[in-house]
Amino acid sequence: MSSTRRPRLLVGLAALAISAIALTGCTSNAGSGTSGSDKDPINVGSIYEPTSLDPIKGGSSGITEAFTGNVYEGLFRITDDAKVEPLLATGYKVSEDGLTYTFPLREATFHSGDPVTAEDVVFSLNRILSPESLGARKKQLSVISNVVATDPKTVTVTLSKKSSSFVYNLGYVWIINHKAKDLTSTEDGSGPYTLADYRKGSSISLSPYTKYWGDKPKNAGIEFHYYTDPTALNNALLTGQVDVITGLTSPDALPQFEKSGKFNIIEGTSTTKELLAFNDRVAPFDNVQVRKAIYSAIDRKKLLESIWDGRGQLIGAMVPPSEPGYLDLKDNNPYDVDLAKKLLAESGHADGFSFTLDTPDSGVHPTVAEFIKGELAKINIDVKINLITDDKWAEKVYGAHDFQATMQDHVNDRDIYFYQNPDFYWGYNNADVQKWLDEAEAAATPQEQSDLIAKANKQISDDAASVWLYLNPQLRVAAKDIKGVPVNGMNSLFYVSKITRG
Amino acid sequence: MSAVMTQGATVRGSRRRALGSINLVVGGILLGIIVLAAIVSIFWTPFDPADTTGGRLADPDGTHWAGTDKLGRDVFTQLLIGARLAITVGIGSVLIAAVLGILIGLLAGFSTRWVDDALTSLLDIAIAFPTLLLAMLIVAWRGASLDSAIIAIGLAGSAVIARLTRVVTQRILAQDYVTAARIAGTSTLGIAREHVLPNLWPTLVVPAALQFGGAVLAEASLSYLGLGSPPPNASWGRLLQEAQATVTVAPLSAILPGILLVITVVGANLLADGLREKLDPTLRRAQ
Amino acid sequence: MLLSLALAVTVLFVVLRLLGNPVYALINLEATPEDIRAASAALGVDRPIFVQFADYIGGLFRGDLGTSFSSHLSVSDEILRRLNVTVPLTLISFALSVIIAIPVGFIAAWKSRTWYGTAFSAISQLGGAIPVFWVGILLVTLFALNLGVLPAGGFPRQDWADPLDALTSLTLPVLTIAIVSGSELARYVRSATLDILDRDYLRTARALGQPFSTALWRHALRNGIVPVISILAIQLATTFVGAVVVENVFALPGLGDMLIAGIRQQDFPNVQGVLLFSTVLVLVIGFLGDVLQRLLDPRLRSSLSGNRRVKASA
Repeated sequence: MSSTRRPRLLVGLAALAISAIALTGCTSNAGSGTSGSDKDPINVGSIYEPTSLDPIKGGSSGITEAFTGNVYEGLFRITDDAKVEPLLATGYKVSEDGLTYTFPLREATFHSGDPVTAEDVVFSLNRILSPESLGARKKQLSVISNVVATDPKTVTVTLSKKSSSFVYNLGYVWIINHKAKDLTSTEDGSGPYTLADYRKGSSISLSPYTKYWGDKPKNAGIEFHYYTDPTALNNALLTGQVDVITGLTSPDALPQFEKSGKFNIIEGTSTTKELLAFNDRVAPFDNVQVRKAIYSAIDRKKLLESIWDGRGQLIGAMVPPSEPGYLDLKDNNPYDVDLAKKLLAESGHADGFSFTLDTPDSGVHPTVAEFIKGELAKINIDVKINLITDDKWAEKVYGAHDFQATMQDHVNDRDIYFYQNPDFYWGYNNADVQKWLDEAEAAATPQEQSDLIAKANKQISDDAASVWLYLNPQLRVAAKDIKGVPVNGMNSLFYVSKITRG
Repeated sequence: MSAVMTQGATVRGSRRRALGSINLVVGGILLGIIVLAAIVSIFWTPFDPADTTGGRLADPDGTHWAGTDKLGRDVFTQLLIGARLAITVGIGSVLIAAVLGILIGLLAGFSTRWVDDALTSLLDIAIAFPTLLLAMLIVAWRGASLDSAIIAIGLAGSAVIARLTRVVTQRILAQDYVTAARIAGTSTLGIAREHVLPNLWPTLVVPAALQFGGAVLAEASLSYLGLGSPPPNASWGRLLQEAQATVTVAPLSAILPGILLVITVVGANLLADGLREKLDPTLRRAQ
Repeated sequence: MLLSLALAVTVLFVVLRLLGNPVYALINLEATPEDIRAASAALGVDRPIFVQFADYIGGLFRGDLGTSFSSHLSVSDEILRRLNVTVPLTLISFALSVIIAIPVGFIAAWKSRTWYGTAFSAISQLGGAIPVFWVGILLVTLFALNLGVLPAGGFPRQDWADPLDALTSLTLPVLTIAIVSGSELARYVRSATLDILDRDYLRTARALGQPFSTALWRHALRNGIVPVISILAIQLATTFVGAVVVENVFALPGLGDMLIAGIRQQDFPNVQGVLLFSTVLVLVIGFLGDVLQRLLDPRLRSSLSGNRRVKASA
């Protein structure tokens, strides 16, 4: 019958169309990334897409990763091993009382061609301190009482009180051309790279700045590619679409990378601490024994094993090993279920209680929360997990202090001073800790500063102000031929100019 | 979508009827398996869902029939619980869709032209508005949980039900016996109760059955986007999302929940197709 | 239709603002209450809601969808740029699903008593029941991770400057959508075909001695195409919207990606812009489908004046 021919023809056409599409895919091949020579840009994969190019208007760690030290420069630079070295400033002088800093500036030009002058430094510092600014370190930099350009190449800053970490904090302040108009889709910094292309939602590409004052970049350019899903990011590296990824958020994909033999896994130390934070103001968490009981009921070793497959470090307080004031406190609140039960009984909650754990629905938080729920069931504490978005977290927990306990990862370096602020979301209020940390800021020597921080660190640990579960490992993965990738994850900094291929 | 098909059909014959019975049987068996698993999970699971003693990503063996997840929890237990959640999502959102949809549909059907027009064009917009996006808004507002998903999917489904209800209501109101009842003094509510509601269900049962499968799929997508609740009370969609990262190490976890999802949805869809053949009034007339 | 669109815009505007203060998406852990107040003022979200609304509507009339709360870029520019991904993705996937669906659905119905007819029915049932993201995951695992012949995700930075490159990036996403959406469509085609095959005029035509193929061609296809067109319109809209999830699986910088990021960051101008744009687009597709359907169907054409939905949408 003739009619049977038509459907067959249609099926044939469909099959043809499908195979044609499949074929175009096959012939043009996937690996456009790694096969390049040193004339091609390095492709960097990341899940931290900057929400905006101008962090004053609110930003994320993404913009630090992409721009700080690459497109914009500060007066100082924080190195990969957490040291401070001069950058746009050639050095600094401090007055006897420690309140007046003088910064001579280096000869450098912005990408628009204008020279870097004292006026730009005044503009940039005032910009971060302006009322509507949401820039990082604003609070700590508010010790600045006055900034003046003493001459075109010298800036004098007056502080309202001594601040031993002032110069360190300047490492995060970008110096921006004061004549720059649009900072949300373009830039005008003085770094080794200029912004060549910005595709919100997918990529940022950087080209070397030919008139850069310092060492020229060792690569032909950098392209940051952004992924919202960690698996998509890993797949991009596995299939050669990117050369290096700035951070693994879980160890799940490590066996894949190890097995293929085509990648280097770079493990450094991060400053990211995973916390179970109590609202120390409200019952029952205003009771130290309750907090210590919970701390001792959680098997952190097993947790780290489960989440990071043995990588990362256990910590017992806020300060990680890379920072001043570190003490080994990981067994200060030991994992000991009997001790936990005893403490809980002493606190008057022998029969346990129930609380709500506000958990951001991002990263590993939900998994960690489930683990904690299982652990606390052993001491009759019933955990109700309430999943919220990151923004809801900021509004409810950070803004309104409307919570009992929460999960959060604290990314910043040197952030123990959060325990100094009784109005911080966790509401820890201890006069000694506040005094010691104040004195640490005013300390004359680094040793004195470190000792005072250590005292505060010990105290918050003794009080179990929060449960410091572990310190994240910093894991970057790069194709074998990629060299010069920064190792440590200092507050998201990622200097790209020394990355090379081949 | 189903509305168009039901309306478009006029006369149907033998082929359809034969297929209808097969669909009912196969659909019933598939969905029955899942319902059975859901019921079993209420009374028994091989492990406590929060039990983390299994070891990280263990392979399947005699004790852990489908292996363990990265916290050492039993995957088979999670799959059983997933069945319960899938059935809950299906029934819950279909109920919400039905109750809300029938109310709005009756309102439009009984109202004056002006109100009806406004409601109808709003329903058109609501139908155009994607379920998934509505769900995301609700999740952003209420937080990620099974309840949020059920409410969102139910709300989205109610627009289709409302539109169908409105059509049926208007058709029935145009009947002579209803006019007679009105003249005899039966109240609007009385007419709705006695004449409209009993005649609704043959039209609504098929789209409702189709929505069951659609709801389970929609929840899976939400969970995949990270908007569902995590294990141990995780839906299959969420399990798939979690397993995606370890697909090369523990491939089974990335496959089993998907297969169960497909069984559930195919079962519900076949049941809907079968019901359509059995219940379609035009078909009965043809007999 | 315009009225209800206006209502939808209003409802959306209000509902979004129930979600919370978008400034919290922007702050870091050092922001003080004063910082938060100042930043709210800078975004304009501290004003009364009707002032914000009047502002927004005023902008709409000037064709201005506003500025993103997070990136501070123009919303309409952003939407236009992302259409470079979403429109080709939708159209190619849709075309491919039609190409798959028509023969599969047709054979499934026409040869329903043969083994391959049954097989085609089963395939279309299966394909329509698989979660779209799972298809994506399986395809990525097979073609990108194991075989290494196609990229796992992403889209070229230069968009369509190198069309082959762009098409390569879209291959797996297109296949993913086409498998699921083609299967759904195939079920409708099968259903429509079954209807036609059972109709009296076809039997009559055959009884009158017309060859089956002629009868089918003359009567069945012309009648059968009508309900299918409205399904196609719905399916095209569904494909457009379904691209949201697929863009997420394949890290494609399209509209869906913009929407999901917008909701997560409470970036109301972005969310409003994308939703308004897609709703209008979906309505327009539906309207065109209606018109086409009426043009093709003589019965509907004559009853045009009596149809209320046409009036409502005109």
